[in-house]
Amino acid sequence: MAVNDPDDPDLLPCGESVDTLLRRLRAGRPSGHERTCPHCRAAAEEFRVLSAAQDEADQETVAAPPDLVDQVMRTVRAEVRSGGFVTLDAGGRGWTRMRREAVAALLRAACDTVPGAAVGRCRFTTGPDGVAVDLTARFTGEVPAPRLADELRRAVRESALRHLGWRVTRVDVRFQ
Amino acid sequence: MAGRPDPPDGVLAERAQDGDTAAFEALVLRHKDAVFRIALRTLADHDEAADAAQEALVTAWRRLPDLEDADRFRPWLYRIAARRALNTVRARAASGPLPEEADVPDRSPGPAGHAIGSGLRQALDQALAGLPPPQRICWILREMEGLGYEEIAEVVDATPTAVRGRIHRARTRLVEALEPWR
Repeated sequence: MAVNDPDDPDLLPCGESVDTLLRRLRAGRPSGHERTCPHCRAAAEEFRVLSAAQDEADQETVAAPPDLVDQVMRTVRAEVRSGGFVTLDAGGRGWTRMRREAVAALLRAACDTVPGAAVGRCRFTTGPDGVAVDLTARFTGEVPAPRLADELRRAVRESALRHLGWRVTRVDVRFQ
Repeated sequence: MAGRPDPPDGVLAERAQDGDTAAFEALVLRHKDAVFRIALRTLADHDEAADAAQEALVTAWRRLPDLEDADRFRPWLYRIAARRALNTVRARAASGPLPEEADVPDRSPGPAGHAIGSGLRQALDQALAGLPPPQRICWILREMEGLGYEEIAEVVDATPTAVRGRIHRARTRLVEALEPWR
């Protein structure tokens, strides 16, 4: 916040910004300066009624209409973007296909069992040599990155082998 | 994810970008009230605000592939919501300005014999409706949603300096409009 910006129209002659002053006053924590400075006190008086109106507005809980989520999600599900299907090995006894999003969800669920990381993006490519997986992750704990990445790799490999019969050759992890 | 902390917006947004509708639903649940509040305080009409909020959230789903930095989901969504609400305001203005769209804030309802209570709250709504929409939205985001100048600048597509100026002018006009309550 550019409190010292001379072009700031919100700057009082004492150098205090009205924005900062109002924030502290509304939180009930004015600084020593703000309590005694005549400029700050005059500004506090000027904004007293507006602050009182805001306090009233704050006490009102404004919640979205109860059917908003359902209406939004109905449209969203109707427009779902599908990246297509992958074919799983069925040993020549018919075919087994799985939506790519379902595969990604499965691999992410495996990552959810690893404490200390939250995995966002999960993309994969299938090739003749095996499957390569690309993850983005954020830290949610204290586990060091190399160890965390290894645990995510292990979780993805095990889940892919057990649930899909896939041999995962490579898991790239990008911490955000 | 039972027993685990709720994933941050960035994680959910990336999952939603991958087509995970459950992750998007979690984001909707997290932000629906703020999106609705922005629309309601901009439009001062419950039904219009409900429509604007719904359209904003659906638009967010459709535009998710364009969101480059998933960690900026919140300001990005607020921006969609603010624009949606401002478009409704413009559409109204085009179909004939309503009294509340007049340039001068309505100062008519005096406080005479009126206890400071819901009257003041309504006066604030009325005074807000009298602000030019760009000032109104900046003030709402700063004072009602607690966003910083930089974030507001991102939402309304202006510089932080311009945002500071708008909020300053909004405050001045609101103080004037609420003068009868002093």
